[in-house]
Order: sequence, then C-alpha cells, then structure tokens
Amino acid sequence: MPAVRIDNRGVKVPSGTTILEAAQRLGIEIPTLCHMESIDRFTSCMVCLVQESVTGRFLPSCSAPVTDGMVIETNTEAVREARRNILELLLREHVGDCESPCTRACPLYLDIPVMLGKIARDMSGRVRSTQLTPIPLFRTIEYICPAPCERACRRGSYDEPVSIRLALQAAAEYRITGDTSEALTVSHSSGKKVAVVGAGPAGLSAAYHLRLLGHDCTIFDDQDEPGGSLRTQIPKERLPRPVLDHEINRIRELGVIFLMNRSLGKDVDLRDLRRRFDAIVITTGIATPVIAGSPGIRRTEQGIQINRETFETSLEGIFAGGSAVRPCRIAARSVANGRSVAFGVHRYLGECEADVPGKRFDLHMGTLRDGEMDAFLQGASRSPRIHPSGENEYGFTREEAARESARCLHCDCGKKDACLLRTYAHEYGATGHRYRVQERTRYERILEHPHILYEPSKCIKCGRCVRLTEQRNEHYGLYFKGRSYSVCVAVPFGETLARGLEKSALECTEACPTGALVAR
Amino acid sequence: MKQRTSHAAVDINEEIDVHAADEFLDLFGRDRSAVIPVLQAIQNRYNYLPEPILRRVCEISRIRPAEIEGVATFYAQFRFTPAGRHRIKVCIGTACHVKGAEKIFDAFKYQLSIPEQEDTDKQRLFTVDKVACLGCCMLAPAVQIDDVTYGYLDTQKVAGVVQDFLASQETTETGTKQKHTLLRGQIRIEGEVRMCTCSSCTAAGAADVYRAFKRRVNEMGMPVDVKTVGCTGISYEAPLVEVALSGGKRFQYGRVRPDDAGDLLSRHFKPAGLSRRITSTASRFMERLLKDELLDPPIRYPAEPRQGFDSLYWGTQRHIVTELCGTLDPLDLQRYVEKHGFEALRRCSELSPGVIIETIARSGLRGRGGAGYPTARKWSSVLEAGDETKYLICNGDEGDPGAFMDRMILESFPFRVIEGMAIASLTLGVRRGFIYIRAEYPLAIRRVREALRLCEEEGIIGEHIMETESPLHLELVEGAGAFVSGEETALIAAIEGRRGMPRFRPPYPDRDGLWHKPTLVNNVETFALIPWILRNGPDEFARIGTKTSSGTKTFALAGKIVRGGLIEVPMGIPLRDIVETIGGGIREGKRLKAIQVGGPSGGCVPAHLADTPVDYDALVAAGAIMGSGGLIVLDESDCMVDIARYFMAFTQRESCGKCTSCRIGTKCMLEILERLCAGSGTANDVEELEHLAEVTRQGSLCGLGRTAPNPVLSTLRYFRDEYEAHAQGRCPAKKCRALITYRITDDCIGCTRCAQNCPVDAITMRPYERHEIDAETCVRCGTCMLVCPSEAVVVD
Repeated sequence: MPAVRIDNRGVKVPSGTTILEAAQRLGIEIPTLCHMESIDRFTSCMVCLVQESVTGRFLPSCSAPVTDGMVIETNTEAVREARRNILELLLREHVGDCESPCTRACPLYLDIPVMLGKIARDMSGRVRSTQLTPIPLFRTIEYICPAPCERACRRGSYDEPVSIRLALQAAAEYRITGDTSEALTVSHSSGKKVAVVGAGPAGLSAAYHLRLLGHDCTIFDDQDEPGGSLRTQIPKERLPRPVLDHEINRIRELGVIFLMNRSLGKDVDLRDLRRRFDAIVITTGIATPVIAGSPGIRRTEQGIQINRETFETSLEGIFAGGSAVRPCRIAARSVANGRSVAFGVHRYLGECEADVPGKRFDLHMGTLRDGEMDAFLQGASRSPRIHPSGENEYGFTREEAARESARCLHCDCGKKDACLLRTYAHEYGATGHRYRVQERTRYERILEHPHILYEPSKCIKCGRCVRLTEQRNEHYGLYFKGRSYSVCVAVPFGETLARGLEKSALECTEACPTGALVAR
Repeated sequence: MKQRTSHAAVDINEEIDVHAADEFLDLFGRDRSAVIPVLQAIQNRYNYLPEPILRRVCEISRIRPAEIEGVATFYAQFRFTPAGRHRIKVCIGTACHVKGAEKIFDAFKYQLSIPEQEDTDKQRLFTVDKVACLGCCMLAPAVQIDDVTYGYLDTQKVAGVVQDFLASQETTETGTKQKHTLLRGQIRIEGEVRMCTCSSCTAAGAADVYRAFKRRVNEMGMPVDVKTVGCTGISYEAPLVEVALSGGKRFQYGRVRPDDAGDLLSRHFKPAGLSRRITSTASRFMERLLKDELLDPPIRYPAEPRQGFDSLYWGTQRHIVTELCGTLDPLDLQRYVEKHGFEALRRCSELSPGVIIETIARSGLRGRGGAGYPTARKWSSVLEAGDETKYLICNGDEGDPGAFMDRMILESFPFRVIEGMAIASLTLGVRRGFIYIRAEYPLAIRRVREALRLCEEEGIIGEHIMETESPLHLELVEGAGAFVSGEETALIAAIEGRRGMPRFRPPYPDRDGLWHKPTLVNNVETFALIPWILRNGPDEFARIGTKTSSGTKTFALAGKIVRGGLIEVPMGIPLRDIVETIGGGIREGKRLKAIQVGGPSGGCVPAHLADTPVDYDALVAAGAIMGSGGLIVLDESDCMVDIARYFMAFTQRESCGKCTSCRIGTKCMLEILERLCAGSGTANDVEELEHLAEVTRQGSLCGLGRTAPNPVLSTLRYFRDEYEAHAQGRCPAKKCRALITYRITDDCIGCTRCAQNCPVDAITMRPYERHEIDAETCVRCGTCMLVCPSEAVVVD
C-alpha cells in the first residue's frame, strides 16, 4: 500500500488510488470540473492540478495515481496560481454573462431577470430569488426610480428596453414576487441599541436591517413624518403617500422606534446619544449642517468622511451613510447604502461575521456581435414595449406586467448560483478578461429541447454530458465534434437536442458544471 | 516528377448506395475498431462521407452514431461535402513553408478562380487543400494532385501544372503498350541499371526515367537489368541512376531526364546488333525532330547529367538503418535474405528474452521517435507484465512537418522493420502486432502491405515465426490524418476506433495499452535498428556516437541547403558538419541563420551554436530536442517569428482539444504570434507569450501541448530582437507580408511582364515606362519579382 503525504498529512492507500481519492480520505477538497463519480475519468479541465514536491511537476489529481513516497501540495501559492491560470484560460473560451446588465446597473443588485421571469409566468409563491436579504421601501422605489436598469437593458439595442420599473412595481402591488417587502419577524435580540439620525431612505433602510439583525433601533428625525426627501422632494403624484406610509409602517411594525421632531444639535446632541446608545448612524441627507457639539467628525468636499470598508466616521462608534456622505441621487442607492452601513455597525457591535452579500465574480460578454441579438431574442416576446393603458392609476395591470416581462431576453446565466466555474473563479480571484480577444466565440442559444436551454458558447468541453449520454445508452446522445479549439458538443447527424437527449436531459443539466446546459 | 498510386477514379455523379455500408462492414467487422477502415473505404469510393451511408453503418452494426460522428469529425482526412473531381493538396510542411507554400496555395486558388471562403471551383473539377507534409521536402515546394506529385513549384508554374495534370489524365486512358520484351536467360547480363522509385524520387520524375530506361533497353536489345532499389537518400540529385557493370565498376548519374536514357546506356553497353544500333540512332533522331522545342515543361533539369557521386555527402554518413541502400529492391525478399536478412531473427529464436534485452541494453539504443526513452527498459517492462495477451505497435505516424525518415525506411527497407518487430514478438511473447502508417504515405502503405504478404508466404511470420512455435500476425493500420495520433496513447485510441485523444500516463501502455493489455509501442527506426544490433553485437553500436546517445540517427535534411535528402549519421556529429559538409552549405550564397531541430516540439539552434553535437542531452541544453529527425536549415531571409508562428499554427490545428491548457493556451499563443506578424503586436504581447508558454506547458495532458511552446521559447531565447522589432511593426528578415512592401526601382525597363503576371492587377501596364505597384492592392505574392528580367523589384 503506497504511502503518500498530502499537505503534510500522511495516508496509506491501495495501489491505483488517485491523488484526488487519497485527498478525499484526508478530508482535503480539490476543485474539479470534468471529474464525475461513476463515470470514466477524462482528464480534461486541469482545474484539479496539484504539485508534486519532489519533481516540482504539476499533476491532474483526478487521474494521477499515488506512488509510494509522493509528497503533494494542494494549496500552496504556486498551486493556486496554476489553477487560476487554468481558470483564466477557460474564461477566455467561455462566453456569456453571469449577471445581466440590468442587475449590474441596479444599486440594489436586484435579480431582475429572475423576477421578470416570475412575473411573466405570473407565478406567485415560487421562491427562486437570489436575494439574500429582503429590501425595505421596495414599492416606493418602484414608483420613483429613474431605472438605470432600463438604460442598461440589452433589449434596448434591438427595439426598446423592457419596462422594468413598471413591471417590478406591478409585482410589488400584486405581490407576485413575494419576498421583497413582506413583513418579517425579528427572531432574536442582541441587547444592543443603535440610534439612527435621519429618517430618509438611507436611515430607514439602515434601521430596518439593524432591526432584522436583532438590535434595538431608534430613529430620530427633525420632520413631522418620517421619509426624508422621499416626502419633501417627491410630489405625491409620483409617489402616493399611502404607499410611502404603508412601507414606513412595516418598519415600525418590526419594532423600530420613531422619535420625530427632534433636531440634531438642538433637541438631541451626539454626546448625549453616545451615552445612551451603543452605536450611532448619521443619515441626515445631503444638506447636512455642521453638527454642533461634535467637532471631531471630519468632512470631505462631498460630505462626512467615512472608512470605505466599515462606514465608521472619524469618531468611534459613529457611522454615516446615504447622501450625508456622498450624494446618492436615487433612492435605490440610498437604500442599498443603508443596508451596507447596517452590516458595518453589526460587525462593530461584535456580532459574528456578518454575511454581507458582496459582489461575486461576474463574467462580461461585452458588445454583441452580428447575429447574437437574434440568439438572445429566441424565447422572448417580439412585441414592442408596452405602455400602461391607463386602466390603473399608476402603472401596469397584472396582465400588462406579464406581457411586458416576457420581453426580457434573460441574458443572465441560468446557472449563476450553481456554476462551478463561477464559484472557482471567485475563490481563486481569476479575472475574466486576461486573454480577451478581438473576435470571441459567437454566442448561440438552442431551445430545441422543451426542457433545456443549451448555450454552446458556455461549454468548457469537460465531456461530462458526452460520457453520461454514452453510459445511459442514448440512441443519439451527444458527441465531440471536430477537434482543436473549435471542438464542440453536438448531436450526431445534426439531429435536434430533443432527439439527442431522450432519457437523460435533466441529468445532463445537473451534470453540466457551467451554464451551458440548463433546465428550463 | 509523377507518381501513380492505385486509387480508383472518382465519379462525382455516382449514385449514393447505402448498401456500401453493408459491404464494408462485412470486410472490416461490425464493432468499434472497424470504424476508421470503414470510413476510409466510404471516402475512397465517394470522395466524401455521405450521411445516409453513415446512418446505415449504425443501423446494422454495434457502432453508435456518436462514435462514428466523433471519429469522422476528428480526423482531417474525412470530408462531409462532395469534393471536386480532383484533389489538389498543397504541402505546407516546414521545408515547403520556408520556400513559399502559402503563395503557391493562393496561386492555385487564383488560377482556378476559387473564392476565398471556398475550396472547390465552380465546375467542381478541383478542390484545393493544404496538407501537413507530403514528405517530399527536398523538392519543396511540393503539391500532390490525386496521385501525382509535382515538385520545385513556384507561382508561375501553377498554370502549367494544372494543364500538365489534365493532359496526363487523358493519356493514361489511351496508354501505350510495351511492344518488345527482352529475351532473358538467353543473353548474358552485362550489368544493372538501378533506380530508386520511392515517393520523393518519383516526385522528382524518377518513374518516367525508369520507364524510359526499360523501354530503351528493350529497343536496343541490351543485356542489362533495369531494377528498382531502395533509396540512397541523395534526393537532391533525383532522379538518380546508378549503372553497375558486372565487373564491379559503378557510375552514378544525377538529375537524369528520360531523354538521357539512350545516351547513358550507350556509354556503357552496346546494343544487340548493327541493325538495332542503326534503328535506335534513327529513332532517337526522329524523336528529337518531332518534339516541340518550344514547350516549357513544368520542371527544368540541367542540360548534362552529372557523373560521379558526391563523396562529401556520402562519406560522412554511416548506414545502419539504411544499410545496403541503393542496392536492394525493397520488395526482393530473396536478396534481403542473401544479405543476412532475418539472420538476427533466426538467432533470437534460440536466445532467451533476458539475453536479447540485455543485448539491446548494452547497445544503449534509445527510442528514435523523439523522446529517446531507453528501448531495453521499455521491452523489459512489457516482458514483466503479467498478462497472457500482449500487443506490438510500430508507430509510423511520422507527423512532424519536414520529417520523412520513417517514410523512407518503410518504403525502402520494409523487411528490416518487420524483422525488428518479429524479434520483439519472440522476446516478449506477443502474438499480434500492428504497423500504423499515416494516410499521407500511400506508397509506404502499399510496400509494407506487400512486404507483409511476402513474409507470410515465406513463413517468416504468420502461424509460426520461421521454425519456432510462436505465431505472429501483423496488420497494417492506416492513419486518417491527425498529428496527435503519433502520441502513443492517441495511437492506441485510433486503433481501437476512437477519437485520437491521448490519455493521462501513468498507467503507461507497457501495462495498460491497446484494449487495456500490455503493449509495446516503438518507432519505425527503432525497430529497423534492432536486427543490425543483434547481428553485429551491441558493442559495435555502442562504439558509434556519444556516451549518452549511441549509434546512428537518420535525419531528413531540408531547407535552404544545397544538398538535401535523407541522411544517416553517427550521433555526436556537430550540426555544422551536417549543414556544411553533407548539405553543402547554404544555397544562393546566403548565410546560415539557424537550424530547426525536432519539428513542432523542437527549437532553433542559432548559427553561433552550430557546433552543438547531435546528442539527446546536448540538444536539450541548446533549447531544442532531437525529435524524430527533421532538420530544417534556415538562412537570413527566414523570419524567426514567422517560424514560431508556423509551428504554433501547426500545433494548434493538430491539438486534439481535450485539455484546457493545450486547446486554449496554444490558441492564445497563436493569436499573439499572428498579431506580431501582422504588425499589430505590442511589447506586452511578448511578455504574455512567455507567460502563456509556461501555463501551456504546465497543464497539458500530453507531449503535444507540453512541447508546443518550445519553438517560441527557443526563438525568444536567441532572436528576441526580432520579436521586439515585430512589436514595433518591422520584420528584419523581410518575410512577413503585412510588414513589407514591394517596390519597383529605376532599373525597370518597361517590359510589362510584371503587370501581365500580377494576379491581382496591382500594376498598370505602361510599355517602356517605369512601372509602379499599388501598395493597397498588392498581396505580396512575389510574382513580379520572379518574372522581372532586370531585377527591378525590391522588398522593403
């Protein structure tokens, strides 16, 4: 039985065991893309590279057998770099966007295509959202947002952008997507108290999230009613007051205390707040006056100076966000910012590592080539942009919302949460554009199979589907066509994908490590 | 100049009969391993693969659609659309490339009015393709039309070649019959006329000369035997004729034309009777009179045949693998045996495996395929493998562009290879073997097939190896067009009927090979050396060469040298000796720049390191590898960045596409090199090239990917200044088309020949005035330079 050392831990394994199997016995994980249990190995992706210390050689651990006396490193800088190089090569071949342009443009990073998909099918209750945290003031935002998402919408370069704002507004009104501004309950209490100064969108959002994180929260504001610029700057024709009040009530219902008509510097000062609260958040908006009694707070040209990572000001325990720091201009940005500040405070208060959903690796496809728009249009409604008929005072009817949402091209990746390539690219810090070239592979979309979306340009030639269809004895199945860089996966004799995958369609979509084969 | 093989003529109007599938499956079998022969048979009949026939193959056999399509789309030989009636294959091997193959390819397309995106002309008469290497490097640039090979082409000769080919098609139909037969046995033979008719000699015109001699000897009633012999390798002088008198004297003649047959014979022999003498003189006179003197044949020969042989070319060589070259008919089994053929085999039948392997070990023999692995060690490993069933494979998939040693050995010394394999069979207890020959070597395939048949007939192999109890069945397997299938695990996959994709090693084929059985894979040359070693003793072999590289090595010497051809030299000889002594130095008085050694896995040894000896380790230290034996000599007009690009394009095209590093890494590297040659590269590109070289090397599954960066790395090491110049938009060697311009100087005499011949009309005809080239339209084909009588065209 050969004895091998992996990451300085020894193990004895039967002859013929691969390095990957030996590592698994030690509980050491090695990334793989083409490797699949119960299917013959293919040794294609090379993501599983490890380094043999004696020779310095890099070996694919899924295939290299263990030999007696081998010394393997699976996680040194050199190994990580080798894997990163492989990932970057794959990212050059792999053509597609992880997230859609609309999501990228949205300050709240909303998963717009998924939401539009649900609206188009008018299916309430089916949760497949990628939102990790809920969003306060969602309905409000959908009434007033200038919709940077629509400016970025890819459909816009064909005819007109999808009317995203109105569709999401309808979703909120008719509760189609379900989880955005529902009432939630606070499960536990941390015993900490946080003061939020300024009941505008940033402050409201910060308070909302802090409350959900278990902290007692009190909002101070110098106006009669909470809302900040939402109430004072936006006319009620654009944002009906009942909508705003309803959403502010939701925050109240969480247990946030509102102390109105308290002016900072007059009725309340920072020294006082510091004694009574464990942390303070200043979200007093764009026209923040010099804060009396607190000469320590440093300012920049734009507003209060903060630490970019922690959102703390120059005074300990005092945080700031929203337009008080830098003009947010749109409510969605203020709300998003309020959330980030809340998590900053949460970390400061010594709670366990906050799960702040940061931005994950996101591959960009770039400008579309000739013919690619037609590919995206497959499966989408060809109708021009719908305008509200006027039946409703504000926005779409439910039916109009569904029809307009069907115009979405769904240019995000259908497997963006489960894609292994994305996961590893993120983990290893790979860049998607190291080897970008003038003319990349053409994007294609194949909808021949009723339950599968096949995007060949995302295929990394790992062969899992080819080997799987062979094992499952598909009559046609899938095969590798051609060789060299232009090798691709296809159905023999040009048959349709439906005929190719008669038995193993779903299995193939699950086996595919990228978004090339996705269930729909 | 022309060579005929026996492929059936193709009629594109022939109806597709799906039952051809039944016929071929009956012939080759119904499981997976029959896939490639079946596909080849279908393509031979229809010139492409009609889908209905492929579908039928799947219907009536165990072969699955995915399997047949996967294989058919992998190998370059196969087409899915009907081709023209005739296939024009322009060789783009290294030697042809450095002599302008790209321009020849373009010239054919212009000539036949084939649009850029397509490959066939409107009348569907010709399809023009590029092929990896025809193995006729000393006649570069070379082209094959169906079975006819043309050499020494340039863009001006293309029209003539097409006409010549079409004309020859007509004459074969009518044909001329032999009128006289020599009465043998009644006349004392006074001597022999020996000619090699291997692929490259025939491409130079040997077949016509051979026929001319045979005819003349008949007509003149001379007591002379005209026979074919194995190649001497002196291809630069081809067609070569040796006259051997029965007294022992020998005379060599080079560059012989068919017309010279009569003269040459008359110098040494007398015709039978006076009347014959008169008749022969008269008929020769008549021939001269009737010949159209104005006809400009595609190939020109010097007026006088040269006598004597070049001792410099010959004397430095040492013939072991090519022993008796020039004297033995490749398929004359009797003569082979007379000259100690199969003696080693007989001796081995009485020796134990251990002793045989020990002998090979003592000789120091290392695999000649390129990697140089100690042969004895490989044989030991297969011997020790426990299995009852083992296999033998001879790797004749010589894919390096610019290498044709194995082709020569298979065509000229097939018995030697068979003997080596039979010895291995006895030693290792292997009963079944395969000789894998690439598709581009039709003559080698035919000769080996015939040689196998003769050996079986004589009981040398078959049910019993000679008088032993051990059987050996050898099969010939034809490749289908993939350089990567020279890698041993890919070769095994091809024989198994799969896509030629390598597998990770270990396990090595010696334990887990063909159909998972222990398999010995050795190169053609390696097997061919075995009989000599066993017959003459290992010490004789070990005495030649260096400590770590013993014995001799064959090389295919080509490129910018005076004398090219197949050579066999003792290991340890300095490269300079090969270039200057054997090769006769650089042509046209130019200077040596570098010697490319080892093909796409190798490197360029610069002129200042030309004293590097031919030795496995010394070459690696110089940044190259021994490789299979291709040596391309480069002069100052060769661009090193272009050479790197050429090899990377080759490797990238031939990549099987399985592993990330090679599939994508070579593509990225190629794009950078193409940018550099097109003038849009940057200094950053050069750094990125080095990074990619490391990434590709590190993660590649097989030797193809691991060594693909070598040409780049070696040219970067010695010629970095050229890369930097390209990054600034200059090509110092004036080779890269995008970075040069053609210009007409004041030496122009206004003869208008350039304007007449320009394929893109970039020059306006102005009689008696200085002409000008429109730089925008000009495609830098160089035709104007070629036709200008006053050398008024220069390149900037």
